[in-house]
Amino acid sequence: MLTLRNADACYGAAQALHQVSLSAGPGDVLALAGRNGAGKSTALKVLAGHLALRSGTLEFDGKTLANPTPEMMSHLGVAYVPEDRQVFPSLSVRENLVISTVAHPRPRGGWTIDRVFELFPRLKERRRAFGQELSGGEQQMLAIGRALLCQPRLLLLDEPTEGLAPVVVAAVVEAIREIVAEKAGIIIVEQNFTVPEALATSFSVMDTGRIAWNGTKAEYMENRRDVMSLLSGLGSDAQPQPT
Amino acid sequence: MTGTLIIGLSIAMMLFLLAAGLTIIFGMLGVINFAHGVLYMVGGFIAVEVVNQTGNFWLSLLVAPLAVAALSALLEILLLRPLYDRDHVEQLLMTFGIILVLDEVVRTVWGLGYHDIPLPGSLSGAIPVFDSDVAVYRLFLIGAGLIAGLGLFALIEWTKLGIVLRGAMTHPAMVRSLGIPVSTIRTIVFALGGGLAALAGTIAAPLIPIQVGMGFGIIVDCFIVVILGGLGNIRGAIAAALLLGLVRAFGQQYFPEWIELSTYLVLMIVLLWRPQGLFTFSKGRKA
Ligand SMILES: Nc1ncnc2c1ncn2[C@@H]1O[C@H](COP(=O)(O)OP(=O)(O)O)[C@@H](O)[C@H]1O
Ligand SMILES: [Mg+2]
Repeated sequence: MLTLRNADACYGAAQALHQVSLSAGPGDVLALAGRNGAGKSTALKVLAGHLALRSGTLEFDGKTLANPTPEMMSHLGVAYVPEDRQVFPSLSVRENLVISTVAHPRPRGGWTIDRVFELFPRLKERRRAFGQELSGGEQQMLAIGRALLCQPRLLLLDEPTEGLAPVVVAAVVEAIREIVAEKAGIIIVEQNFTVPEALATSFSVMDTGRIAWNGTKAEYMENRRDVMSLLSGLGSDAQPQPT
Repeated sequence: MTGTLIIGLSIAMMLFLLAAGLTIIFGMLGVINFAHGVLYMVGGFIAVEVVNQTGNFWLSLLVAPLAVAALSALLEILLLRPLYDRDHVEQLLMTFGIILVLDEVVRTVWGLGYHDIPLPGSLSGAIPVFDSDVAVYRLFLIGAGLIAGLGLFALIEWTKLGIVLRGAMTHPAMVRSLGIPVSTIRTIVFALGGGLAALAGTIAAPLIPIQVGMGFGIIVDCFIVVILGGLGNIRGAIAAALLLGLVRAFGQQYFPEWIELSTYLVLMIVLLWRPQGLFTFSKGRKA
């Protein structure tokens, strides 16, 4: 469905991605981990159309996208939950959800506001509160709910459980399971694989703007300890076998 | 007393129609549109032309705002859109350029003299309100301003377009990620602001001489309203327009020699002491 091939991307003169390749299809859950500053968020920005490629290609359903824009990616079915959530502070919870239906009026994927409220009952209780009044966990649920109302074929989640209480993490994980059951793809970014381990079908590790390791679930399980130590920065001598 | 109050309210309505456009344009586009007064003037001239051609004031109330909204959309697409990523100074200079060019176009088409249109027959005369005789047209002006203001409020609070506008004011990139073309939204906002300015120009046309440069005086007052209300804050603009309109009307009546000076003093004090505006509260929401 969505494939990034040999991507280089820059912020001004500083290159943030080097030859990054990622791919996710329907029903796939790609977990992308790496230390702070590794380039994970930058990779998602590229996939969401917010950052142009210096070189490499972004392909959707086999077609190369010449000049991807955020609007275009949204219409292709790529929904984005950014790291800072970007909940609209001066819109109510309900309006933060309604705004997704402006460009996505047909519930193609079957997501409605009522269904989002079923998934996150807390949002229903808070439906009249303004974005700026929400707790971090409520904002995260709202950002995910808003993305779901774009009827995603592929959902990009940037550190969705960062800083959340364990109950909220459980709610978010539950939501991810439900989304996967709909045959949508997910790319989930976290600092480590603790949360996504049980969900993911493939795993990638980023370091200094490059893909340092990637593999299927089976390959990950086989090299689990090596990948873990790579992530914690202890693995520079004992690199696991890249695949 | 009542007469002065009515005049104050009618000034407030004119100020609000202009300031509302200025403030939402700033909120959405980040551009301080110095050309807003010129759009008001062009609205006045188009109204004069429509009334001269057809004798129908009501038609001008429709034609002038629509024509200026279309003109504004064109200006935004051709002249402002390429500049959003650049320095604010360049956008300011561009709106100055628009003033110079439109002033020149109007001068070429309609000349330097002033034009006026008669009060529409059904709205001339005066009626007694409490202790004063009040010009019917003033009441019409207040009513028209109220309707436009309420319409704008309803649009922003209760429609999907309004939700998009409020969302895009703070997080335009996220709005794009929801599939909504923010550049089109900017054009709509600029056209809406221009249309409101032209509506003000049309409503003013039977009361004041329509001439080149007429936008200048009122636009200064509008900037005061926008600053007092808090940049980008429509509710604040309503309150500030009422305040300034009433101060202008009562000041003219009771202490005319102090009015200009005290207005600008208040403005400076607000700029130094509450740059976020008198009517923006950190806890409250901006609309
Ligand atoms: N907006 C930006 N402007 C300039 N540099 C940035 C910006 N965002 C991120 N970077 C830099 O790009 C690199 C990758 O950042 P990021 O993708 O946010 O990492 P991660 O999400 O893995 O923590 C870092 O060196 C960071 O400093
Ligand atoms: Mg990040």
